[in-house]
This record gives sequence, structure tokens and C-alpha cells, in this order.
Amino acid sequence: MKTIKVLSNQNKLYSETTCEAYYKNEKSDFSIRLAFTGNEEYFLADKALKIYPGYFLVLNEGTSYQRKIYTDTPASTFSVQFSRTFLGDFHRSMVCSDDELLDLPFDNNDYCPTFHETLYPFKNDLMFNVLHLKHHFDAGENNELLMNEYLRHTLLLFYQVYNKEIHVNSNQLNLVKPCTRREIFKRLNNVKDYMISNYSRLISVEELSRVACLSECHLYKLFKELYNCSPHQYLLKIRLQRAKHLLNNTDYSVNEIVGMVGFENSSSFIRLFKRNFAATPKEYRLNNVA
Amino acid sequence: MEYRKLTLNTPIESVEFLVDNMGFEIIKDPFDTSRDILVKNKSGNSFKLLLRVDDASRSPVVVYSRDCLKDYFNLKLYGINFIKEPHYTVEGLTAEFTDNNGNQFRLLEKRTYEED
Repeated sequence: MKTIKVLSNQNKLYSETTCEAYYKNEKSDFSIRLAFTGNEEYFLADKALKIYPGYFLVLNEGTSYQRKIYTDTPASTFSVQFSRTFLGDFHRSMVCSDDELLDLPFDNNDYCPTFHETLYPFKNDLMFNVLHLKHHFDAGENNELLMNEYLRHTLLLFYQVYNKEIHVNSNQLNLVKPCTRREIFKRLNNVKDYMISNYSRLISVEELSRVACLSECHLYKLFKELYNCSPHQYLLKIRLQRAKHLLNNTDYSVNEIVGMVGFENSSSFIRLFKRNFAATPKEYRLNNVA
Repeated sequence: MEYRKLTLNTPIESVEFLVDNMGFEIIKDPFDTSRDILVKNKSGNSFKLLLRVDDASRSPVVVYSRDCLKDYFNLKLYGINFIKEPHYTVEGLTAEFTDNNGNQFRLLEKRTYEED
């Protein structure tokens, strides 16, 4: 089932629930894309990404992509597309001084900002706001002023996430030349996306080294500098977060979840889960269901 | 149950405002005085408001909201004057406004945040 809402300012909302879908040669305005259940794959020019609950993908205006959903249980996906005018106007209100905005209120020069096309954490304020937006969308809310209020807040919160995930994080890298730092950050970001997209299967260090185009030692050192943990520890965090989501939102047994999130045996999974969340998976599920 | 006090210059209009727009309902006055009115919120506040006509204290009253932006939007349509637009705090999304009597209200959508 697919539902689309186009607002009069050309902002768009898309919701789709399906087990199978394939869209090729797609393009859109700047968009935020996420999956509430299941997952969906995106194929961009230089990388393939998989969106699971807990993450969202950002695509810039005009980016070409293919999109595929192929899951056993229905994937519920949602995307918000911002028109060029709306995004440009919002961006200007964020970066210009009050004087500039007063002197030249309509001078946006048709400028549209671009962002890192990567997976971002979907949580906290951005998550709460998008859930409200989705709720009003599902309920058929027709008040465009209200919907645009949510969209403005969604952009505002995305800018905060972007600042933290991109600007603050990249400054963690102890590299002098800005262009080197940008390039290294991009490569390490690709490694992070690769782990999020493939967390459920065995991933070797050689594989990550190839994704980053960095030697294994160099990758280990830089990754630790950027994310304060090794690639292996980062992968474990992703797997444990996914396990938490599955314990909260599905009826899969703990043993099934162990396999689904890429652990080889349940004892190491339970030990790590307890160390991180101060409860065994069963205790965690019981506490959260209660 | 906690009680909080609000001052009123125009008690009839104020009670109408609370009942019609803020989800409060009038309950029995336990103090049995002619000038006190007691109301409680139907959507989760754990306190009751004691509306007293001649009380001098004016502290902001927190009203919990399930959807702060929507409540903000609806109250703006009603002509309510917001002194602070919706903004994000460690407690959640909040906005502040005053009523005709100068009483301050704080809409609060409480949120539980995950650590980074």
C-alpha cells in the first residue's frame, strides 16, 4: 500500500508498506528516508545502503538512485521530500543574520544546500517529531499550516543532527589539512554505512579496509580517532541496538534474534547484551513489555 | 494530589478558557468557599488547579501535552499570545504563553531521550 501527500508548496510525504518493490532511475528533491519496520535498499552511484529502523538516509536534490524492498515481513517505509524553495528559504533563515533577512527578504538566489548522503541515527527529538508527522499524515490531516510547522521543525532538528554527526565528528580527526580531513571522514563514513547496512552478516577487517581504501592499520587508527572505538566495537554496538529494537518490537525468540543480528552464538550475545544494558535480553523484553 | 494556584481577574472567562482549550474539567470545590474553583486536567497532569480570584502569587503552570506542536498551533489559532515559541529542552518540547489574566502556562511534551 502506498500513500502520497503533496502540499501546495510542493513538499511531499510518501508512505509505503510492502514486501516487494523496485524503483529504478529515481530522482527527487532533498529528502529524508526511513523504515519503521523491515528495511529498504538504496543504490546510489558510489554505494549501496540499507535503511533499518533506527536510522535515516538523506538524499540531495537530483541524486539518482535505485530503491529496492525485498523482505519476508512487510517493510513500512516513510519519506519526506522538501521542495527546493522551502529548503532554500529555511537554510537562509538559519545562516543569514537578522539584518540580511530584513534587507533582502526574498534574495535566496535559488540556492539549495547539499548534505552528506549517509545514514544518520533516528532518535530523540527528530524521531518524536517525525512520528507525530507520520501520525497526522496517516490520519489524513489536511491543515497544511500545521504540516509545514512539522516540516520546519523536522529540518531544524535535522540541521542539529547534521552538525553533530558531520561537523563535530569530523573535527575529532587530528588532521591538519582540511581537504585530507574531508576525504578521510568521507571514507570512514562509508565504512560506518557499510557496517550499518550489512550488520547481520560476517564482516571482515579486509572487507572494511577495501570499502575505506585504507590499509587495515590506518583504518583502525583513524576509525578509533573518529568514533572513539574500533570498527569491531562499532559493529557490536549496531548489532546490540538492532537486538534491542527486535526485542522491543517483535515476537522473535532470543535465539532467533541472535542469528538475525549476526552473532554466532547466544552465550556471547547474552553476555554482551547484559554488559551494555544491565539486563539479559529476556529481562529487557519483560521489563519493556511490562 | 498536588494543588497549584492561579489568579483570576475574569473568573468566568478564565474557567471557560481552561475547559474549552486546555482540556480541564471543573470538579467539586473541596474548600467550600464561594471564591475558589477547582479544576483538573483530563490528559495526565497529576495536579489540580485552585483558581482564586484575589490571590497575588502568579507562578507558571505546567500543562502536559501529548503533541506540543499541535497544541501550540491550535492555541495560536485561538489567538493565544505565546511568550516563548516551541523549543527543545532536556525535559522535552515546550512552549510558554499567558492568558488574559497574565497567568503563565507552560505546555510541555515530556520526552525520554537516548544517550549518545
